[in-house]
Amino acid sequence: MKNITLGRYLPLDSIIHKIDPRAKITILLILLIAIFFDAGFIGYTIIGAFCLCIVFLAKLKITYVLKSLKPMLFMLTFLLILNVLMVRQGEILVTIGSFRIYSKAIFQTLYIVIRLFLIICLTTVLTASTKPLDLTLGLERLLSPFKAIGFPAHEVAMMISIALRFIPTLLEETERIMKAQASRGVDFKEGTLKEKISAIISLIVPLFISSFQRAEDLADAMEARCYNPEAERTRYKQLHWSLLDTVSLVSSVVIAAIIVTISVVA
Amino acid sequence: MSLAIEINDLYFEYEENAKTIDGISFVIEKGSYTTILGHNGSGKSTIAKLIAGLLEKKSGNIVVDGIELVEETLYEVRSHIGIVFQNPDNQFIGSTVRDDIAFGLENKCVDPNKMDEIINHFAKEVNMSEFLDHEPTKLSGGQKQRVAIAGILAMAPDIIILDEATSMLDPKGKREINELVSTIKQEKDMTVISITHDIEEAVQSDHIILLNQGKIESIGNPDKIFQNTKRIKELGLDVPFAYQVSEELCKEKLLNKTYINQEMLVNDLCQLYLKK
Amino acid sequence: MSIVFKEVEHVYSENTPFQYVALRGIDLTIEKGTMTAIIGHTGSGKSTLIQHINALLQPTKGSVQVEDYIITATNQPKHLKALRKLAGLVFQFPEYQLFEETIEKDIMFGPKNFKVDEETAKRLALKALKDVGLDESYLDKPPFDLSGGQKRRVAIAGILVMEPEIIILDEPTAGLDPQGTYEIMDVFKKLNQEGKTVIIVTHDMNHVLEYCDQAIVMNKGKIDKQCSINELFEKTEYLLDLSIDLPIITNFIYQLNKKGFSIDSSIKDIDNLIKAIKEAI
Repeated sequence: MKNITLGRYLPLDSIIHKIDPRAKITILLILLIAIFFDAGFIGYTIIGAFCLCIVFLAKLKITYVLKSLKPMLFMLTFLLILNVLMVRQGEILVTIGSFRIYSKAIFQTLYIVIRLFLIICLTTVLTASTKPLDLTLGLERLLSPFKAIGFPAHEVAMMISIALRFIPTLLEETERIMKAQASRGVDFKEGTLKEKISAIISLIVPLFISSFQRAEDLADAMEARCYNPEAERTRYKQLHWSLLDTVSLVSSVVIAAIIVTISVVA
Repeated sequence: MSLAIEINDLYFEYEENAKTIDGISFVIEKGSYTTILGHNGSGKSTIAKLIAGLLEKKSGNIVVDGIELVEETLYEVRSHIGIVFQNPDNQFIGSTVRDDIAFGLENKCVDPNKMDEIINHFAKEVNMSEFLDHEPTKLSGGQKQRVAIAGILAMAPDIIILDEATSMLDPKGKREINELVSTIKQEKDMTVISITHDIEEAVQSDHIILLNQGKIESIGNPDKIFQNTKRIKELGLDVPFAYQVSEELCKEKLLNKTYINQEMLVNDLCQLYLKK
Repeated sequence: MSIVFKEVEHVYSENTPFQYVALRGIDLTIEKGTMTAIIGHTGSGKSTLIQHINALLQPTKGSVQVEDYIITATNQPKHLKALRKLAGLVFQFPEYQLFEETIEKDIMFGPKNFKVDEETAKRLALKALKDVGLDESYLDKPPFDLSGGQKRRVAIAGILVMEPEIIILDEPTAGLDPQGTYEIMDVFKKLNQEGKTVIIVTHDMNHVLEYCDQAIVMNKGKIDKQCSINELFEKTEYLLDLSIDLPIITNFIYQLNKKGFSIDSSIKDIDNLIKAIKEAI
């Protein structure tokens, strides 16, 4: 659990940390779209440099971001092999017996890897530089115009923030139940398939039951404190849009525009 | 004197024919400290939820601060009440102490610019100022309940209901909460209702409503309620220690009245000792 | 001798920023057939201590011997599971571990994990159910239909069904009403009278006074004192210094003594108290 880098918030003091979550989410979306336009070598260099700048400004180390790629290594290798076998365009680079490796195969795979790397870079920066609750708040604000067409932006955000608040509590409870069942002879590590299933059931059922009870109690507590999702509510946490946010957003739009232009023109 | 709560002929069932509340009527005066006492299963645990409209009554009527509880007045009634529930974890909504106290303020549409001041004020009242940015997993049960109380006080209700608020706490936590409630009672003009099975807590209140199997067994002040020790024991409750001791001493003709307050008993016994 | 701890230390999350020494230099012996109370403030290491007895935790230093089994940091008894049967541990709010469709099935869960056959398991389950004061009619009921106190008894039956010689309880009466509390404590009293070693972690000093033979006082991960109940309550100042509440009766005597009386502070019941007051006046 402690080794997951993707998704974890790091309390550093960087300029990226100070950007409004709404801006960050929007920038992520804009750049993600730009990444999917094929602007060739120049395009990838431009956007690659921009992303690396962001990583640097967020005071993150490239090695940290690379760690997030590790789980994908297997898939990427598989992709490389697939492409090498399937793609027969471009110049022939290497000939091994009757088997030929074409340049386009290599480049295509390379571009996929670069895209993946950039996406992971950006999402890692987003989650590392934004507290989960600020992220939720940012999402809620961005989605609130959709309330007009019936999308329950506030309720979704409330659900996410309560879920986040209870993750540590649930982890503690899982440990407690595991110990209680271990005291009844359950072995969570070894055993036949049947025994393992029985072990998991003895863990999951109590967890579910106590979670339902918890949900009921929470709902009662919230309502008793006059919670009404449909009524107007003020918010303790305020988001303030600043010059920094505008500058960041504008520069991302500019970069994206450049990329799209290059890919369309070339 | 005006009434904080008025209950008339209340009936409620969790399931068909499982008469949880079987015809209850009582009143609670404004500014009083009332304990609703009963063993587990006496129905006391559903009363707080019925008063706040969290459970739907089968029949009867509930009036809070002069407002009758019906679907339309649900939110209005709730704004007059603050409930501290039993499980410290399952009523802690915010990710930090600060956020949890803010939750109630958000619901009441308090101006966000004023929230910090209010939060700091009430955190101080419950002695949790140092913990404002702490997460709930780092707090003890007693601390979490204190935060719950702060959150409720911040909403300025007229009535505060403690629904077995100390039953899941260790002795230290219980003491913290009981002292805090005592202070609230003295300093604020609030009606306090405590729902519990703890006898030593119950004797601190002005009035006791004793429940048994969904019906009212008796209503009165602590002295009156504990007279019938045999019945109290039959109902699965403890008799206050001071009462047990003084009852025996009366039999030995050393005392001529029974006590429910330990301090008073100690003082009077000492006076007898010194006179010797 | 039932249980022996030798210089036991337990460190959580060793070599990480979250490192925490929960137990240090623990030496203790718990004799067979005793009823021992483990007391101390929250965070003093009580829960960590008891989890060593059924090998849920292993000491980071030192050794724990339970009957013929020895648990150390590096080796575990090969028959770890058998130790879980020998020493039954009931956690706080054990009703949260219930999960089966019927009470009978839930209680049988333990024996089944030890490869006991269906028939014997059923027999043991019925006996365990009766031992906690519930009758046959409960067997087919879903555990979730019961009251809190009843659920707790079913959960306890789920441990007693394995016929442990050592029974360890972590705050067995937390959250129960007075009636429920008596019923549960009676179960353990009976088991102790049958010769089982009972260890109770508790904050309820009234229970310590009423039911236990000896007490182990823990303070900040160390054992502060191990002594008989009489010894423990003779020196009320000691308990107050450690912020441990006194039982109601002991506190009452303490208050009287503060104001001039000199009553024996190890008195356990009201009858003796009345006699003492009578003599004094």
